[in-house]
Amino acid sequence: MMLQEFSAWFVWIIPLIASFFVPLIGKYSEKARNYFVIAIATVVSALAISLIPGVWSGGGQATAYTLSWIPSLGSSSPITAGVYIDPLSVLFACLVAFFALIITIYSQGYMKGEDGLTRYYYLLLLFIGSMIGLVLADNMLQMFIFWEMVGLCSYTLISFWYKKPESIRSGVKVFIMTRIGDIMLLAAIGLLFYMFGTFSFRGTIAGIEAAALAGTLDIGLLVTSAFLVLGGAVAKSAQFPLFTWLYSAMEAPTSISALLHAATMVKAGIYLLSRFILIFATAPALILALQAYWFPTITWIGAITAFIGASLAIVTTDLKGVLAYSTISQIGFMMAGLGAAAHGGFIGEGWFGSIFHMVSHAFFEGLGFLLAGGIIHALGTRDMRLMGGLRKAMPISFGLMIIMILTTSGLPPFAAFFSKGIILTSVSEIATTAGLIQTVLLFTTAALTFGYCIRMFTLVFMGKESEHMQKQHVHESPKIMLAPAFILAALCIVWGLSEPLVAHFLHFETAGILAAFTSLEFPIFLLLLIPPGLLAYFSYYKGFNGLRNIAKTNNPLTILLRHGYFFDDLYTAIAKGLIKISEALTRIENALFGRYVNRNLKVPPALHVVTRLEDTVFERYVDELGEKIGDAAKPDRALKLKQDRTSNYRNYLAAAVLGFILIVILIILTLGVVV
Amino acid sequence: MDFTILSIIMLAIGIYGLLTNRQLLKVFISIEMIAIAATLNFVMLASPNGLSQALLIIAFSVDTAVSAVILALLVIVSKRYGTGDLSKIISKQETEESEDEVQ
Repeated sequence: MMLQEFSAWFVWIIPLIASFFVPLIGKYSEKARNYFVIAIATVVSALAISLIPGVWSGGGQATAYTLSWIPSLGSSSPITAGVYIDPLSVLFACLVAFFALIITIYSQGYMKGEDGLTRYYYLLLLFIGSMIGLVLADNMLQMFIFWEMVGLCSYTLISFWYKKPESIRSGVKVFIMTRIGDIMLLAAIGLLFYMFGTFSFRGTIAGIEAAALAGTLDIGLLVTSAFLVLGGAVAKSAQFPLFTWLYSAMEAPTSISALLHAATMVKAGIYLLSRFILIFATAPALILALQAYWFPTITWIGAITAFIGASLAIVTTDLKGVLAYSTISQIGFMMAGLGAAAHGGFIGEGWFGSIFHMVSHAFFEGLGFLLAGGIIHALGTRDMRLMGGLRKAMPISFGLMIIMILTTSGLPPFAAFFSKGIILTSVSEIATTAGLIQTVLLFTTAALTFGYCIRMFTLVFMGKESEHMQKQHVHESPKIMLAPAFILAALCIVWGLSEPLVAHFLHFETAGILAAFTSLEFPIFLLLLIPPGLLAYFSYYKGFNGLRNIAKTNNPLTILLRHGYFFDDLYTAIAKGLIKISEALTRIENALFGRYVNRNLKVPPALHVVTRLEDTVFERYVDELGEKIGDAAKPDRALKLKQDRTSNYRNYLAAAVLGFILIVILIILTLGVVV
Repeated sequence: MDFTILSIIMLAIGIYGLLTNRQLLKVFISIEMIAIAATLNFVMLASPNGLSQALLIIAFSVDTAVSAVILALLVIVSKRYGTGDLSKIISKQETEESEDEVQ
């Protein structure tokens, strides 16, 4: 037990503290810094793995260790710090720690020779520490702090190449779009605190249980907070309608994209939802109430996102863009599974399916990004139209990519076959018309997935060597970049078969591996793979031009796909509208209180006073101050300021001493009054 | 209650300032206004045992440190672009970017 408690605390404290040592070590030796980061990632992985035995042999209940956050508030204070150990959190923590190790090793090769690597590794460790902290947090307040830190780290890492304007812009876009979800999550936490007077998960579970027994469960408020939680997850996990940020996030270094997609950031939303489903599942009455709107909404969001993501992945020409849309689509699958989880007041296989798929997605998407990183490194471009015929130059990547596309399309016996199968089965068990449409959408997506995988694979590896490629000396990725990819590829193959172990770990009863082959969905799925397979085969290998011709014309479908379903245009329109409103407000303000009063508006004389006041206070002093700051910043002025420094310094010192004396006098006076 | 109203008014003024002003210094003052409105609310709603007030002093000092950083950034921005006006800065950025592309 001691070890468990120790590991659960230090698995996130160590990377957070170690991150501050990265700049210190980086100052003296770059090599030492790199080894230090790898060592920390190894320690974190070891600590995370040491959490497994306790959960494995436990009964599936949660253990929590809490400390008082602010001891002077007393023991009854709701503000605590703690770790929450249950199968779900340990699974996530292990996944994040494992990817931390994979990515730090991969970065040694991929980021070699870049500027600002100290900043990179500092943020990387902070990112990892906050994500593990998020999944192990014992209360919502602590979780929210880490949730924000994850958002901050991904923002800074996405804009890592800050000299490129696009990368700054996409970083800001990511930050602002996920902010919408953060506010919703904060509101949900506030509502739950209002209802149960506690932030901790155990306290909330106990509160729901007690209220359900007493029959005082406030269903309306709980459903509202559930929807707010869903809003948080939607923004963080890049779901419909807030999914466009993930494509922009491709400006990040590829190693960061791999981490972002496989383990951190987008998975935070899935963790949040699965955690809250477990909390709500305490009271069957609550689950029944949520089954009316909340769960179907999740399934709808998931199914729609899965379809949109897959259809956009088919048309994008950006290699990383395909992977980004693929992630959006796969997370849609997980959402659909979570939405299909509730059955008559209890949590069913859909929940397990999503978690299982979350891990298999981490493996194949991580593999995809690691390989894409190598390809981009070798070719210096992300545009797939400039690629082609890479199979001779990069044979190992070619082999690994075959495993990746087979897993992504969900073919047996690779990982995604089993996990996607469980999700499809549980969604098809929803016995409503909506359920039927969702199932059809998800099956279509599964077929489209096969299509975009083949397209990407063909454009990059098959065909003739492109002109762009011939100009460059293309070589296979270095060993340090291939080794992590090999590990992930191996896991892609093995992970699906380990389903019983995972089910045992999560303490969840499942139908077992064989059920995936005997279910009705299996033959349907295989049949559905034929049309995209044939279309891709004829288009790319037999010179069939039908699809290309359709793509060239301006029919509504291609316009829709080219504009990404007009979501970014919609958001731009909203932003422009806001700017219009603010400009109109400025104009009104100027008309009423501006320096030159508009005589046509017949402003009452009383307001002239305001005008004059504002004139003196704002226009004169504030603007003057602003100009002065600008002036002071000019090089010649700054030099002059520097030269005058000594006299100014004395003034500052005098002012500080004067202020100090004033404070002392004030203290003496107040004490005198009190005494 | 009076202070809650005051804090709401300050929040409204801050948001209004953010909407209408393009001068960086004024934008900064508006943001500070919003931050102070929130802190004021905390001060008024905190239980009067002294401890909450002590914690709020920490919040204030962090806020001050953040202000110092923001002001430093403002100086750098006005140094770089020679103006504190947001719309002018943005148009300057765009011309610079297009110049980069030409090169």
